[in-house]
Amino acid sequence: MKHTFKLLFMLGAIVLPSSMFAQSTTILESFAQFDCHSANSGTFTKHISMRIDNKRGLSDGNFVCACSSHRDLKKFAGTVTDANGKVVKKIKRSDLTRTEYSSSLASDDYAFYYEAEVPASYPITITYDWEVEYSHHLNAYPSFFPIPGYEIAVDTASYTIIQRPENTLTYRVLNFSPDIKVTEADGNRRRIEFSIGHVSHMDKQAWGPSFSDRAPQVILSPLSFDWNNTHCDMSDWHSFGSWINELNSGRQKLTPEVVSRLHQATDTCTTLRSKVKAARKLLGNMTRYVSIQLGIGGYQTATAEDVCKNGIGDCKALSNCFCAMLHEIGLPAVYTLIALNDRHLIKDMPNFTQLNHVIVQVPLPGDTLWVECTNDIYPTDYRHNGMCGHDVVLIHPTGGELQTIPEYADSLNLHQVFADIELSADGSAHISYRESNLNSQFETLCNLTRIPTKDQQKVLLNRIACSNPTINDMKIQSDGACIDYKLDLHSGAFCKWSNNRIFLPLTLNPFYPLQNTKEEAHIIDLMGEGKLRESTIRYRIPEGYTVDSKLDPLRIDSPFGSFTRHMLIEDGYLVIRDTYLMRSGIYPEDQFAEWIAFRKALVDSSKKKVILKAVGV
Amino acid sequence: MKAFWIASFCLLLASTRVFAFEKNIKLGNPTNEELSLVSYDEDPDAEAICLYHGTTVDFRLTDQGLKAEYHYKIRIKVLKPEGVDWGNAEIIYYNSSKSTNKETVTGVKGTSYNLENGKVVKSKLNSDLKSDEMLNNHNHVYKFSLPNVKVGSVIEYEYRIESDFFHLIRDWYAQMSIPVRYAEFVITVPEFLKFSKLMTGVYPMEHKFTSSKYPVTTSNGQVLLNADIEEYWAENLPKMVKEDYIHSINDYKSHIIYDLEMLCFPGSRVQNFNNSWTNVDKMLLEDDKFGDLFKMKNPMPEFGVFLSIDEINDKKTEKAGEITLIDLSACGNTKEKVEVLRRAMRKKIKWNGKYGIYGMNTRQMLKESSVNAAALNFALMAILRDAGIQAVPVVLSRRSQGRISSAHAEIGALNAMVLQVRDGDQTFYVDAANDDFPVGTLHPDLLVEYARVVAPNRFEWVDISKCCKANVMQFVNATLDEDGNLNGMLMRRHRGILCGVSRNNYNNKKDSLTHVEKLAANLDCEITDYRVGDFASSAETYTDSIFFTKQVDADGESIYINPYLFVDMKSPFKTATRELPIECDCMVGEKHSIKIQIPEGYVAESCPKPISLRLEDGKTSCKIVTQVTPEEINVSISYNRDTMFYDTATFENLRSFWTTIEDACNSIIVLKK
Repeated sequence: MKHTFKLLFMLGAIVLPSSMFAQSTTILESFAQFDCHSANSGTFTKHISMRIDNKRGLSDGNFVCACSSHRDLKKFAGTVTDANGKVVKKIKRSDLTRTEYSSSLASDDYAFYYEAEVPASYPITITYDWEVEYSHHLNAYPSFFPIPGYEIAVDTASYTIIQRPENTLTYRVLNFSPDIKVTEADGNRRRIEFSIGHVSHMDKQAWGPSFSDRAPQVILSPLSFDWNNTHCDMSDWHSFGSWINELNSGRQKLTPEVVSRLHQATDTCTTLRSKVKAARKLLGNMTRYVSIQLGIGGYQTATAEDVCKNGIGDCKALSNCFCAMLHEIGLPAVYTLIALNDRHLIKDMPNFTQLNHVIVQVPLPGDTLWVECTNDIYPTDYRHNGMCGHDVVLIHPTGGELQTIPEYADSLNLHQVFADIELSADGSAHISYRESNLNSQFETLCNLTRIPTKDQQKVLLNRIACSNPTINDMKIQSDGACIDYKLDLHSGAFCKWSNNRIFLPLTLNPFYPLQNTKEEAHIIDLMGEGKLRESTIRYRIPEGYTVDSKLDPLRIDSPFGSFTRHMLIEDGYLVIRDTYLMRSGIYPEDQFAEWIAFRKALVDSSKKKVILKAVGV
Repeated sequence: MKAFWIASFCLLLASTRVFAFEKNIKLGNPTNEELSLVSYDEDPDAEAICLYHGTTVDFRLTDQGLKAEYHYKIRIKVLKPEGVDWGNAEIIYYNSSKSTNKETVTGVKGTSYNLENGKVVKSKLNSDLKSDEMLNNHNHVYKFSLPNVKVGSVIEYEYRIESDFFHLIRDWYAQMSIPVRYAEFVITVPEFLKFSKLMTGVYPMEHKFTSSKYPVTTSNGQVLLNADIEEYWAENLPKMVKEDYIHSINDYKSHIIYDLEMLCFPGSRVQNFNNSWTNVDKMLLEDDKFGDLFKMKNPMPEFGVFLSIDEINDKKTEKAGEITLIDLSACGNTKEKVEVLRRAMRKKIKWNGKYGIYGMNTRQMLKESSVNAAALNFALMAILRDAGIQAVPVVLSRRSQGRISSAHAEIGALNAMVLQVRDGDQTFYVDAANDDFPVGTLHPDLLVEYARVVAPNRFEWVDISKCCKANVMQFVNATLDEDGNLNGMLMRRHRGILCGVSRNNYNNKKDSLTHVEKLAANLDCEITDYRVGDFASSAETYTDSIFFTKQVDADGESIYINPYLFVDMKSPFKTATRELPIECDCMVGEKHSIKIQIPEGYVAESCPKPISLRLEDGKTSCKIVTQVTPEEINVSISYNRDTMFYDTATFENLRSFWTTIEDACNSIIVLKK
């Protein structure tokens, strides 16, 4: 007998709550504890038991433990039980695979991992118990991350830290409100326990905030620590910055050869900005990015001299070397820490959890540059998407200072399109197409000049909606944070001709149909998405044809942006001018339906056509 | 002299053309031409060019036994900023704490050369820029980064690998992802070793063999044995990178495979290795994880699943728990029986996602929560045997892992297994692992030209690439109103391979809502209702019905409609030329039937002409017929592809074929009031 199952949708009106979508995994219980033994050591133990309901959740059952020279896995045990509670597998320490592989050239880090096996049936429950010994220094405590990923619900989770008097620490709670219990423990120690009950799973949101902006978490940090004969005061960013400065002091000596080349390259520059650019160009010519994360060298930069000699460095080393170069030519430069994945640092708690990159601030009079030193695909004076709007920590000799890198105004992220189109009787078209892309729009194409010609053609043709395209000529020009290109195209079946009528598309860069329109309403995060697109398309109206459609203007307005279209006939051309402005920002969840409606209106605008009709018909 | 040197350098700098190179195979001395090169005419896009890479292989008799010693040398010119990453290298080698046999990397040396102010500046690789990491339980990776690599640099490095695995010679590839000016491979084979060799790839290589001597120290002093120096080389090789419609790019790269056939030390017994497919067959049949499994007992009774009452009575069932009796009497044919049995087995035994050619016996299987595909196929073979259905294993190399050659036997190249089932005088194929694919069909990655039946008293090559096809039938029934609103139903029937693919996508969906939304975006319509057929009752067909609405252009006087609804006939070929052939996933048969009721009082101004196309080989064809009556528009499309391979000579015709189809499916019908 044939069974069917039926899903009913009314047009865009029904929003199905996320509880309708089963999560893949539920953490039944998660208990973690960090027991401090001294100012520099402690033991971390964790017990986690999770139920995996289907194959999508199987990877949640993988075990990974990151270790290093001061963090070692001491004990481990795991079990897998079936739906009836029967133990189907015991996982021993010897079942774990150890790997030292890293993306760096060299690193102290290693990891133990275990891949959960496909079970005979779902659900299964996987339980892990393990213990990690921390030694030598405690510059960070493990965070409390009760929900480790999307589609994972939690029934109960807790994290306890047992402090000794010498372990001063502080913490910040983000995105949830756990129960927090502070009690005294034996031996003059203090116990802080964070706990939560049931938390529903999180679904990925197409236009929502990032996982780390949503996920419940407690980040803990010592107020100070000692490492390799240095002492770091973590009470604020200022003192933290002092430690970084101390670690890196005395490391800015350049080789004489580089000093000579630097002056050769910059002494004749007439403006400060051009000096900075020339110095950056030299850095790019003489170095490449290779990461080396060993010991305290994971936080301490390699010397500028080593970078000069080897031509190799990671973000720390290259940024430090660049600072040294600018200082050599009398320009200010500040070693700057940033979190590429988090826009906002915890303002009142320095921590190692968030920071993951280094750039250079160049505070010129009336003009501050933020320079990416690891990749010269970004122009010297361009602020890329990983830094715009992000908090940073400037490392001055006097200490650290928090600042925020400004974003570009939406209208400065400019995408301009010009197309002149000549139609042929067979529906084909000759298109002279030009684009100009500035700032964030440049960034989407910044690699273009570095890929093979065939791949360039693929990338550019993917940006234009026309059928059976052939490129006759292509020119690409890049200057600073602007990339322009011209294409001379033939499109085989560009428009539809049907018995004395021609159907002309009104855009060559349509808005594509949406997915995820039925998500539960949520905050709309459009930070960094602001842009202005201006498109002008001119069709030469073929002889014997006239415009047979109304050329009414179109306007779509919303809090998120606006779209306008104007059409006119000018000197034998049908001219279509579109302007689309998207406003960067964070919008409340009660505007979600309006957001979907706005996007749908944009998609609909792309589908419209103008009809030309043969005269006398 | 210095002035001449500087003048020559300036002259060279002024030119961007490549010079005639002399072969420079000795490291430590890049030539002026190599240092001065600024671009490579044969490939102006190249980020770097390999000027030379050479590998020598020698065999050494040591106290620990015979070892293979590899010596790698390479010289690369960096031409563009993206090319500087060629200054970083990773060498993966075998080193396991659980094995006494291992590989060791030694002798790592490197230098970068830069022309600065007319002088050659050398920067040597120092120990600070080298590291060794444990990759996993079996492998290590040795990494290093050459200093001072920039645009214009010539970089050189060399290293040796000493390997206990003298019988497993590393495959050698002449081509890289950058152009190669000159590549060579030299192996000195002493007389006590005999290898079979395979040279393959799109670009030919030269080779020559010369005789030599091989000194061996014995208790009686040094003895000179005979040896062959076997050299292979190639010049001016283009880069080879992955392209669309190529399953494994390594199939096309010029490369050499050495496989040990025989080892015979003087005074010792001859040891034969796999030197023919016949030997491979024998090795497999003698293996307890392959040949012994022909006698494997049907594992299903252990899971409480039986084929007959007698079986239940025979088996001690008190421990079995729930008992299931499979009734095959309702099955109309052998395929249906196999489907029922496979389904029953898969309910009890799960696939761990891995392939392989070695299985396990029932006792081992019971200990595992999931097993590899080979184990599943052996288990199914045993079950079928009990059901009176004959099946034999067929071993192969999946398309994504590279082709095997009937001329070159290599057991290590085999990585997957399916079953061939006899059905009277017909045969069909089944994979116990990919059970989304109906019996008689296989996942496209398994559709190979060379697969080998390995069974007692039966060894043969079979071409399973065309054993099945992807079939789709789509029916659209829609109504159009005066305002351009199109409402209707799309019914899709996917059979064969496409049934498997569609079912797999559906089973792996996140949830139904996401699945339907994705569908709506792909079909460019609003979906008001969605139904999918029951997989259990229609094993060979995936059907779904999509109730949709769509808006077409209408201006009160006329309606403009593209009647080729939900027909995806876009040309997949955007580039004008192609250097490699085209490998399709499978053969395809597509039929579309579209009926659109038009509003009363409207007539079509014209009707698109019918199209009938066929490629020269006669295996690819397409027909599009459009008819308009006062009441409706009818469209019938059939597309057939009975081949999986197009050579490069066909590309232009193929592109033109698809251009014509795409253009035809973009036509608009104007309905006038």
